[in-house]
Amino acid sequence: MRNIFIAIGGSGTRVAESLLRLLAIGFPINKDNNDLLGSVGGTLEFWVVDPDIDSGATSELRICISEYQSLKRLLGEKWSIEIRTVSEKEPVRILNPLNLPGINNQGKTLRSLLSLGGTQPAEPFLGLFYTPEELDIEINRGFYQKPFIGAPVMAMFADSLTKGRESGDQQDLFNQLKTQKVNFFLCGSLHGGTGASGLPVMGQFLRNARKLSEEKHADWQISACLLAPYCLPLGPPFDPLKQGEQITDELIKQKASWFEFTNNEGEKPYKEAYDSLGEKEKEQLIKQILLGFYAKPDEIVSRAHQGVLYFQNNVLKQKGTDASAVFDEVYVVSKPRPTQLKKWSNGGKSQSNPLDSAEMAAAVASLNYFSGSNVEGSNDYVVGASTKEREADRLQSMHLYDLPHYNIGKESIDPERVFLATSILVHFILHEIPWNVAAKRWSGLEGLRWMYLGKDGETVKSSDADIYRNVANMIVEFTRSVVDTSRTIGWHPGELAALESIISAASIEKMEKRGKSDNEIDRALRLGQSFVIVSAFDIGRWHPEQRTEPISKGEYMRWVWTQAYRLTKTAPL
Amino acid sequence: MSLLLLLESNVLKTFVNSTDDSGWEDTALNWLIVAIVVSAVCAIGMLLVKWLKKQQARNIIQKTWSASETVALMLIGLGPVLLGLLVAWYMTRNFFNYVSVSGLFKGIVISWISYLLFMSVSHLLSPWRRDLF
Repeated sequence: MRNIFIAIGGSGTRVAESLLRLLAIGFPINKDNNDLLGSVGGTLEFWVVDPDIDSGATSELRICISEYQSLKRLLGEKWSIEIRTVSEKEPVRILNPLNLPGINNQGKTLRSLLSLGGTQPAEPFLGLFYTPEELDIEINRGFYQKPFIGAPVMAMFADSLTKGRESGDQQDLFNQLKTQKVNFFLCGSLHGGTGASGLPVMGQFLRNARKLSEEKHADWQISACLLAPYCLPLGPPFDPLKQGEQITDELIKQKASWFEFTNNEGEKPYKEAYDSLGEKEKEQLIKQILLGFYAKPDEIVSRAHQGVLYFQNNVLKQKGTDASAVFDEVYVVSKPRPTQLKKWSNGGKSQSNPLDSAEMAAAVASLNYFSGSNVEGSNDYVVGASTKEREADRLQSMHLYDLPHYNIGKESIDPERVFLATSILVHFILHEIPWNVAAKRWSGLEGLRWMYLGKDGETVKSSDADIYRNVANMIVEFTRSVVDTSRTIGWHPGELAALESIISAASIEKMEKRGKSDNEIDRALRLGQSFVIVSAFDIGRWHPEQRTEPISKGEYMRWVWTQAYRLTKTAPL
Repeated sequence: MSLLLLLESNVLKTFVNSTDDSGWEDTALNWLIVAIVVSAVCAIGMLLVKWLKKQQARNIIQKTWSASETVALMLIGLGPVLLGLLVAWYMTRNFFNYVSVSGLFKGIVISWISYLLFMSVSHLLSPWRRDLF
């Protein structure tokens, strides 16, 4: 099974990164023949559709993939899904909608693209739909929350994917994909420029592209995740031009000096974004703001509303050339009250917002989809609220139990219990295994012990001890990266504290053998609404069946993880 | 047989002050037997201590004994052996009167050696073999 996550715009890319971190932490996608939860077979790859090829979000995704691959190299098979990369140097497939065949890639504007691109000239008609500013603004940093700018570009790009000499590689790619079973998951924001314009266009393109003949079509499933506002950007550093005002060199210099000399704490985010740019980019930024091309926080909700209406009336009711609906599944993720961002950016390298809890919820939606769990119902779209009784204020700082559950077969996967199981596994590796004692002397660890009884057993054990500790620390770091409130937004600070407590040596006492007089409830390891009562001896007994070929570290960890997960329970507060 | 008897009486002679009094051989032989019995009792006692500690182990790390921990337990057991022999030597008139100080020390050494032997063989013949060998 080939799973393709198509991130459309910066928000979609952040969800892609969240998904990767969840997979590293241990979120399963399927089961193997032994009923072991994990990620068996199949691959996952990331495509990014974004005109802003230097975006901070894409850079962060690349770094995350590199860290994930390091983890996978250490663990071998079975812990997490294999990531298919474009090449060794490029882990992500970049689909730049401005990269149209036959068009000069420098200084992209809507006017140049629409005048030169396509099969017929559009110049005479452009003024009917766009203002001169909209036609002449450079759009290689995104579409500035204006999907009507992005839509024609996306349409031309989608059209070019399977046509033209220059798109030969992509033609081959789609021809190859038609012979395979593929799950496409498209993710983008409803209120952004790239996401809102790209989602419907790419969805329609894929639906049409899967056709093999009049009766047959490729075995593709296509779903979408729409991100309604979950975070609010800061407003612009200064007001745009007034009616009748013109951009002059004097005005640009005046605004530049504002950036250079501002010392105000409140203006620090703007100065940081400005300082990260080159000279030419600084001037472009000032022009963009003066012309009103920036994310307007007070318009975000209404833009999202327009996006939803467009989707409802034009996309979800539309059919592909094979008369099927464009999307097999649609997920919508939002927060009743979006979180206020503290950084500011107008695109480029500086556009790298902290991971948001809503992005993790969207990542869990993608897990639901990739695990093959369809929303029950016929051909109607079912709108599911995440959980009942969610107050807007409380969701400003979410708990892990607020995340949606998903299914693998008939088994429900509760994200909070996943984090609990992973924490127990990491604690066990770091604090309960006597790595410094010869393996032949181990008691209570028969499964792991027999792997080190061979001729060079102690040497292998020493090396494995280092790897297991390394892996455990990497998983801890992945966990911190998604719930640490100093690096993410939208989480309750108690979540990381609770996870770290379980992982730390402080939990050794709770995992000791229970005496007759011990109160079981006191010994429970708790995380939010989830808990587990387990001892180190119990965990030591969990191991895959002995066989002649070596068992990878990933398989051993998955075995222990699956048992731990199935032992965890939920007790609502 | 006479050679063995000769050997035995030469060995036994080393435990006593003098061989002038009748019955010195019995005293020396009893002293040897006490040394071995004390070593066996202490070995059983230490094995019981180890068994209890393992039973009461609350986690894998407590239950897993390194070779040095087992050796340390064995060395700790030498103390009770010494104490047992001292008490037996002091409290028994014949031993006190007829077994010399050098005989006492030799008894202690023999007792220690047989104690360590008991402990090693017990480990070898049990699942605790992995703790030592």
